[in-house]
Amino acid sequence: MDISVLNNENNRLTDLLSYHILDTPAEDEYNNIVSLASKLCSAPIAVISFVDETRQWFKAQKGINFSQTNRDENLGEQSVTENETHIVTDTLKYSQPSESVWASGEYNIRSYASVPIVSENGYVIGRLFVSDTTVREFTTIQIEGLKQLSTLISALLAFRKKRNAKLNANQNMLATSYINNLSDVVFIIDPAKNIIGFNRIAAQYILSDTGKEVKEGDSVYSYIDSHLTESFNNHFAQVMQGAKVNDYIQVFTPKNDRWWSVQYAPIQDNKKIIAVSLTISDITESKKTERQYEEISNVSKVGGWEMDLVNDILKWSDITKQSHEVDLDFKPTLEIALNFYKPGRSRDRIKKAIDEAITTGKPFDEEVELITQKGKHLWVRTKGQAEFHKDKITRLFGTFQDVTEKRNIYEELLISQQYYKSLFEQNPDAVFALDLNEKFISVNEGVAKLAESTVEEMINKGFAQFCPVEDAAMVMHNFNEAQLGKATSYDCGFVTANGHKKQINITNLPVIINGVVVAIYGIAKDISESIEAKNQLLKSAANLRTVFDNTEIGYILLTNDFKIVSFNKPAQDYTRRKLQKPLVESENLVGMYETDRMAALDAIKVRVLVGEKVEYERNIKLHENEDYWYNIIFHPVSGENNEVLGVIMEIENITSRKKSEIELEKSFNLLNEQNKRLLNFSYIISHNLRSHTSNIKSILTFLEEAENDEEKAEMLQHLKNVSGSLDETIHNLNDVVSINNSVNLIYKPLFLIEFISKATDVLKEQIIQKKAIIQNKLLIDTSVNFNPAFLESIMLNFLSNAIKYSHPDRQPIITLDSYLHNGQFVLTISDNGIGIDMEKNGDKLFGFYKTFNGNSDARGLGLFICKNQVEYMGGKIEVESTLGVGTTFKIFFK
Amino acid sequence: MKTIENIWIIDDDSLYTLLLTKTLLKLKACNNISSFHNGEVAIDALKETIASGNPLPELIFLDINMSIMDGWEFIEEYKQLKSDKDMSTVIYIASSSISEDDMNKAKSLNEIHDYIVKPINVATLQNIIQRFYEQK
Repeated sequence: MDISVLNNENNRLTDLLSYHILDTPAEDEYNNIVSLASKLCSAPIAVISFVDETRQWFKAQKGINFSQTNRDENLGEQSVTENETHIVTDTLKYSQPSESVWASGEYNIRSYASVPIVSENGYVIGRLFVSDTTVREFTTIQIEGLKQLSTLISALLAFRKKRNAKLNANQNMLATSYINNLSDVVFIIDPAKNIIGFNRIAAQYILSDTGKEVKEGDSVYSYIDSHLTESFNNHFAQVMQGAKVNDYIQVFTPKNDRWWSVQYAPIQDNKKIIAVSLTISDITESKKTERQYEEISNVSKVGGWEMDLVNDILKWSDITKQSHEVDLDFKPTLEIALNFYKPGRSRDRIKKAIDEAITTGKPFDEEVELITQKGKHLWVRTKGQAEFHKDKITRLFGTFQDVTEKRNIYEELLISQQYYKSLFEQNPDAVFALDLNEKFISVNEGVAKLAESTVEEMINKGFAQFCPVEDAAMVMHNFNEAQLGKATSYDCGFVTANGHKKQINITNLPVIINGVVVAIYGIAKDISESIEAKNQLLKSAANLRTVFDNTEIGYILLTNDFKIVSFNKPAQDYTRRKLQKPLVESENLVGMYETDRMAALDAIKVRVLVGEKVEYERNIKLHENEDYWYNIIFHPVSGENNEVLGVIMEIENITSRKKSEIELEKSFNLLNEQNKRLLNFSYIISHNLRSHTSNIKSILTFLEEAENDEEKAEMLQHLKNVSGSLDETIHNLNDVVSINNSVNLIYKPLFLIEFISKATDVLKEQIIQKKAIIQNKLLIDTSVNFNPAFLESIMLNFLSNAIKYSHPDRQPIITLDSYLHNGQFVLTISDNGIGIDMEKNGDKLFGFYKTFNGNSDARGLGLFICKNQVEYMGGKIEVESTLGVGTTFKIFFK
Repeated sequence: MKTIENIWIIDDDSLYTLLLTKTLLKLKACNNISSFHNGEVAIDALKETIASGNPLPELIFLDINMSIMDGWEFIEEYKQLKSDKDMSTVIYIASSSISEDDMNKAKSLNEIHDYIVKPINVATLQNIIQRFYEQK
């Protein structure tokens, strides 16, 4: 297979998948088409199949009990995706895989006809085929019918695609509105790990954290810290198996120490996982508390010890042993114990304290350094006290606690002053102190940078000179608040030494010493950029509003009481068109309707408020030729507990779709009508031919078994008669078929008078015999645009019928006249003949029910042919008749 | 083979009627065979038979496509007559139509015993007569 063929196949598959037809349940439309195809072709099996990569899947089937085959299990040798009609009249002429279901004894297919189903983009995505268990031919009419049905299937598919697209759009809108209202960050990630959706919070969060603007289609890895990639991959893989995963991690946030819970959940469509949702919630607060508990319990791990001075035994508790990093069966002695303390000051102090306790009973509490068995340096707090027995110290006991961490904190405190200093100086934010006259006492580099000046330059300068005039009053007010001891935070303008304008956020903190405000401490942040971002956001909100207003679908947002919250232009247009008054915000929608419609709207309200989606179509007829169709949907907007918070009314103008739907239905009906006629026609043909052949068969049996020459001669005479009528039948059928085959007939203006005289000329003998009067009320120049041969046949048929079925008791009078009906020319042919029992025979009059046997009624075929000819030329025939009085035929010309 | 007293053939194809009659006679299946070239003639004859108290047909071969009154209309009229007079006539549709609609319609009518596609050969006829006796 060369590349272009492969590409083409890939495109074809993509095209097929876009219809979402594969593996869907059976639908009436398609079932009806296969029944029709089966009837049309008199074939027991009819199938609509779609061809994907590996199989032929049946959307509808008749006469078989399986719903798919392998792709290569093909009836015949041609490719199923070839844009050709395949007709096989005897499958045995082709080699077929013997394991094929078609070749199995159960079906034993011997013939078939198959037409391609072509998509809007021109790909052959499937086939409509019929098959039979006998060797047979398929007629041109049957094949043409199949092709038309295939076109109908294509139209149905196109309609389905449009419908699906609309459904998806609606679902997306609802989902978007839901996730945008969540306070958590939500991302939707496809199996290829690309972000395919996110809510507002997510976008803000990414923007503030990384400065990047998240877009649909971005790889999720762009926003994950590299050290989290592995755990993300693990979780993602689990979720793709259907698991739900909770994880507590620091994600996306290298800057600040925040904890996030990340929830992974699969999103399913038809039991298939199509995406993963990632919900990220901020749980920093609860996580911090948790951590503090851990620290406290660590610190409070206190061990114990005791020394039996009588038996000279030292005992340690397990915690004490753990702190020394010795095994739990370790047996300490006083000497060993003392040797754990760091030589020098620590060991000396503890030794002295213990000696004193043994001799004087003085309790001790020492914080000293210790080196564990494994050589780790610890700070420990050892407490001890003595126990007396009859004035003699018999026992020492106390606690032993690892306080290294606490000690470290203490030591850190000693150097923290250094830290504070550097914190002030190195702080990337602008930090400054002002005296009560609002002059800078000290500023850090950040302030200098903000002001585009130097630290030295700024000291002793007043804040006012950096403050734009319009903000001066507000800044002054906030300084005064700070001087009263209140911390304030506010945004204001800032003018640098070079005259650049910036937006800053200032936090003012009073510096209070002994209850008096002595200075004001300030932190300034340059928020020019985030203000800019905020403006951008407002702008994009405005853009969204524009989109909302300019979408073709009307939306009215309602409270759960049907009060109008907001609406867009198409909704306004609809309301004006329907109610002749405009929508007004905060008015009640129900109140806008006519009294008789209110009840219906109230009923809708009740349904929507229990969470039901209500959908209906509405037709608005303004004038005779101006009507509109709308699809109205009320969507409930539900909160977390499924309570309905509001309602979205969606109004889609579906006029053009509706009209094409109606057109489609019309042409479907037309097609159905045509097919019915074709089917009927094929039965008639079969019936008429069969009646002769069955007679021939019987005669032949008699001939074979004839006992004497006389009988033989009789049968031969019958055979001769039959062959005569068979010939006549075929001749008659030819006449009928030729109408249906006359594709490019000539139309030309024809003078009716000419054709009337032609017909009366032919019928001269009958007219004279019955003394018939032909009354012609037509003007001499009356002409119609018609086919000459057809007109000749029509005139002859109607006039000869009128003469033939004349009343025996009176002279036949035949009147030809005309009139205009809605601008259409109508020719009338009236007689005073025997008339027709319309109630009994009216429906059969133009039908093709009569046989062509010798004793049959010739009127049947003649009228059938006339009707076909007139209808073929775009006209119609009507008949009015009273039994015993007469008949009038009306021929409507196009 | 036993014989049936009265068989009616209602069909507008005179050749078919003749051949069927000949076959029945050859089989010696019947004593009296009457033929009618459309439904109306047959229904009139049936009314007359009932009125005069003559023996009713026991077996009818009925065509569908006939002018003036076709097979379906005959069945409608027959139903009416049957509501007044108890008749146990066995009616077979014998038609050259292979239309599924016709077959289904025949199946839906209680008055119709079965549907035979023409031509009726000797074996089919023997079968019909055999079944006729089994049911009696």
